[in-house]
Amino acid sequence: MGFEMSRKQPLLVLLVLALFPIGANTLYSDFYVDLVTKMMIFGIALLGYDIIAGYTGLVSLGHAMFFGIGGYCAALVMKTYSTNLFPILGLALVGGLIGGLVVGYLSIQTKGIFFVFLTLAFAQFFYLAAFNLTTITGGDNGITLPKVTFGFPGIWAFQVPRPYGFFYLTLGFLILSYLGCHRVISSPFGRLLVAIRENEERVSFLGFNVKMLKIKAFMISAFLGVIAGALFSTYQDFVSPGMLHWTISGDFMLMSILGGMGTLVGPVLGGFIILYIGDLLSSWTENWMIFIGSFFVLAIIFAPQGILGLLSRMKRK
Amino acid sequence: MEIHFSTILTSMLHGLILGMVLVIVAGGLTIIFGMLDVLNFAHGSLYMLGGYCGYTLATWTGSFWLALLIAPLIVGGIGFIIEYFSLRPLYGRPPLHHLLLTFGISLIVLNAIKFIWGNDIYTVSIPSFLSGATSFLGISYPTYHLFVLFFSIGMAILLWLLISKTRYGVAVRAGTEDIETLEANGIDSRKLFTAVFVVGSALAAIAGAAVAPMRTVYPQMGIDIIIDAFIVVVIGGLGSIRGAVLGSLLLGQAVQFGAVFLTGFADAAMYIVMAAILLLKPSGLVAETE
Repeated sequence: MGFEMSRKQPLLVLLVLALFPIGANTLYSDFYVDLVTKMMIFGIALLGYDIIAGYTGLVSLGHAMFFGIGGYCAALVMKTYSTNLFPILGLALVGGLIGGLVVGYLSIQTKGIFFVFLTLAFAQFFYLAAFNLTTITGGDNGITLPKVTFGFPGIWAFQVPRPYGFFYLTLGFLILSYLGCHRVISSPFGRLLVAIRENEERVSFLGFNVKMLKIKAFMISAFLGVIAGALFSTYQDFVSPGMLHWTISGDFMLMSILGGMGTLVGPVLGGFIILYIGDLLSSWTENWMIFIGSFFVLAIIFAPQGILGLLSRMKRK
Repeated sequence: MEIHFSTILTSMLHGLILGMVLVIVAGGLTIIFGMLDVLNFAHGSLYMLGGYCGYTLATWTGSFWLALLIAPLIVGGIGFIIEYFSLRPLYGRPPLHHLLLTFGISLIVLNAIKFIWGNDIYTVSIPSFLSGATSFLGISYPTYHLFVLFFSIGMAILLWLLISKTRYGVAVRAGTEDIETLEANGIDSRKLFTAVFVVGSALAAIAGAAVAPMRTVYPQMGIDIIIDAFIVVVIGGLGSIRGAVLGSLLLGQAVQFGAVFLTGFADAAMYIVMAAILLLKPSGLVAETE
């Protein structure tokens, strides 16, 4: 995948992001602070997605299941215990742990195109469950949530101010996720994941437990997925089966591939671009995915390495 | 809960019809995969397009039969465009690329359908002599559902004859095994690929148009059927037509008995079957022989 970024460039991008709200209401409407918050939440999930799809080579079409698990866990905590973000994230991680282990264990029995469909089928299972188990999930109507709070439960807590407070909260999670993923991929474990992508048999001949490594990678992506899902639902104050819909899984895949998989930065960039294009086009037609779909088809035919792949090819010339 | 014989019989019939429709869809998917090495994500979208075209044609012409005939021809034409312009440049690349490409195509088709027909659910009226119900063995069963059962059995037999008894079928079976040898025997594999993809697309459309009067036509129908068809393929074993038939019939029964015993969440049954097969026999019930 070949696009090597220096360590400083992504941090520069994050600095620009941190300064972004300053221009709101003067250079651009503060609607964009809201849009960028959503972009960053997707970015967190996309970082995790890149560990399993980009680095390990297991392209999943079911990542929305973790997004949704995070969302519904948040709803469960808010309904029964507390509106505080920390117990919410705690339960979301437990949900991600259980869901990730079961689905991960079953899915990694296969690879390639099988893995794509299997993850899709499992995600659809969660979608149907959320849709049908109306007593717990509220079915198609979803659940409206109270405003999320931040701090130490019972001692000192405050409602996360919007839009700027949530913006910086999300940015903080994005930075931590990026640093964490960067650490993972630079570690010996990360190198093994890439080795699995390039030649699985060789890794297993060397005596490594390939399935175990794959499950670990799957779990990392699950954890970041549930965190993003919990942030998304608490930001929207709402959770519905829509978060588990297959088109959300499709979005994660499209964003990653268009941006450039296996680069960490590429998928996040892809997410920013597609959400921005979607925002531009959705005022014009509800079915704007027709354009993204066409763009994606052309990308698969002519530039399967995505935008970052194209950039690095141009650089080399 | 007391279960009567008639409940079981009705349930089995429902399941059989579900299974036979899946045979047509998953059969097309399997033949395309066997020949082209393409797992066609857009197969469900073509089924869906068959349903929508069938609806519009039936409304325009007033004849359901004309719609059932023309809709597959239109969708076959669209299948030709897809194969010729987007899949051809990709042969020889990893199968994952084909899947991603056809995923993109399915998004285009889905949104094009929503653009043309909107988000509404359409009902296609049943031809008058097939409306009503037929009574047998103490149950009363919708006549049109029985028609779909016999129609899909007929299509399956036709497909089997085409593959096992004709020259084209020989070429297709040979191509599934070894494409180089086939080319060495003077058969243009490119034309054969196109033909197989077009026939597979048309088959999906026939299924979509035929079930429209009993299932209605709605924007989710494409994803619903492609997931079912894929679960069939996991259960039966990818690339095996016998496996596709077996998997379809098994899935049909699982879903229907799920509807009887797991009220409220019937679909869970098919995921349970799939998970069990994955754990016990990951290569599917009918594993492809090397």
